[in-house]
Amino acid sequence: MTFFLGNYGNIRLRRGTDAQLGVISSAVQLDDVNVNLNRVGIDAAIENIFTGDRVDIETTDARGLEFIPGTNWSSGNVEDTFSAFVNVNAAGGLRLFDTFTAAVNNERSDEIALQTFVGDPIEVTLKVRDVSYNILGNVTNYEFNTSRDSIDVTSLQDKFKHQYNAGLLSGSGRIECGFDYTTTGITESPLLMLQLIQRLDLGSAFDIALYLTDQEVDPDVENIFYQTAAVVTNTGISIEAQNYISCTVDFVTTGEIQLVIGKPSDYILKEDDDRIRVEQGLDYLLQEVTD
Amino acid sequence: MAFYTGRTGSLKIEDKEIAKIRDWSIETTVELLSTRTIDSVASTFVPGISGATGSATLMYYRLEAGETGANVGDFTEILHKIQKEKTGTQGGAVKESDRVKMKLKLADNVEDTIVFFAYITSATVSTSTGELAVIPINFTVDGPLEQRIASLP
Repeated sequence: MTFFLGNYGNIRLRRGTDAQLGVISSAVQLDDVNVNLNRVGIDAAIENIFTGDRVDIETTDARGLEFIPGTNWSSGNVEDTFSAFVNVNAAGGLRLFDTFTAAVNNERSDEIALQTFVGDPIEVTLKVRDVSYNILGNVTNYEFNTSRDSIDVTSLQDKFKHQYNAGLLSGSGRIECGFDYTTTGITESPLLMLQLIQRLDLGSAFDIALYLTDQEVDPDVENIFYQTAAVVTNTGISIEAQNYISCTVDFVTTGEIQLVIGKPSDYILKEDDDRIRVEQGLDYLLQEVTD
Repeated sequence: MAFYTGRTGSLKIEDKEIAKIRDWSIETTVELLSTRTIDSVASTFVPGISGATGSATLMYYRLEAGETGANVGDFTEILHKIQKEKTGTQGGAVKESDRVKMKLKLADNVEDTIVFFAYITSATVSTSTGELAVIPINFTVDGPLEQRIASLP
């Protein structure tokens, strides 16, 4: 038997979630677009969108997302949906980027330029839909509990208690991490965990993969992780004179909980012949399982 | 055996034992007719009509192979005495023929069995997340008890 230490595992999280998240709606007016700063103001963004989020912007306006130049689409024309990573400033203005790293570091050389438009305001909807998991940095401790509801099915004449064997499954957990608001774009900063509970309209759901053992940490171990969607229920911070600032985040699961053994964290199973819309490089798409 | 528990309890309808009963209860009451007069200093009564009502909780349970038999029934034996569906130009009515002979047993002894005729007066079919589907029923006894709890010989 082998004992595994805590440093074999880590936490990966994905900001968007397959579980239904809310949508925020806004009308983008000409004054909301600043072509010098390349920022666009969206109502309710400051309470719901955080730097590093990957957002889907959609409109049903016949003009499409006219404040974004057509060169940003492969067709060369302005279309009605667009996905980008965002950097949010103190006033709630969104600057759009192609990569998470550029967004969190606010690299202006990589920003997506905006353009003015004429006519009525463009009605848009925004939702957070991240596609890849990032490692959460500065995690010192996490715990995760799963439980199954017990449903008593004991009836008269039974000599022993009987329990229904397929009660509802749920999970809850706690993450403790050292506070940090900086990130190079490789890892998620712990600040995000404090921010998630603040999403007023979109909700605080996120996808999480809790690794017991991670092949990226040690190539000789299997990937063993719990994968689920979670909702932040409590956050706490501790500030002591003689210690670093620490954060505590409590969450509960929503929906399916999987204990995955041996598979890469981003594996895709596809059995039909439909086209796949690839949003990242092919090396992300091709994940091989050797057995 | 001095004490009784649910381990030995059961409920029968028309001599068919109903599977998966969670509990049953029966309450017997008597009306008291007051014989107070204006010079009475204390209440006095004479007994009037007695009656009984009861309830049971059935589990929504389908008998599996090996559990079926002529003397075994499921919740539909009781439910269909009150839950009716339309048949032809009539139907949907609860009739006198839906009166059932019930046996409530605390144990297999005759002395631990209550027998009576009753009408099923309510049945609630319900289900909710994380809970077992159950059917609470109520019944009212029609006429006197055919057999009551008795002392052991």
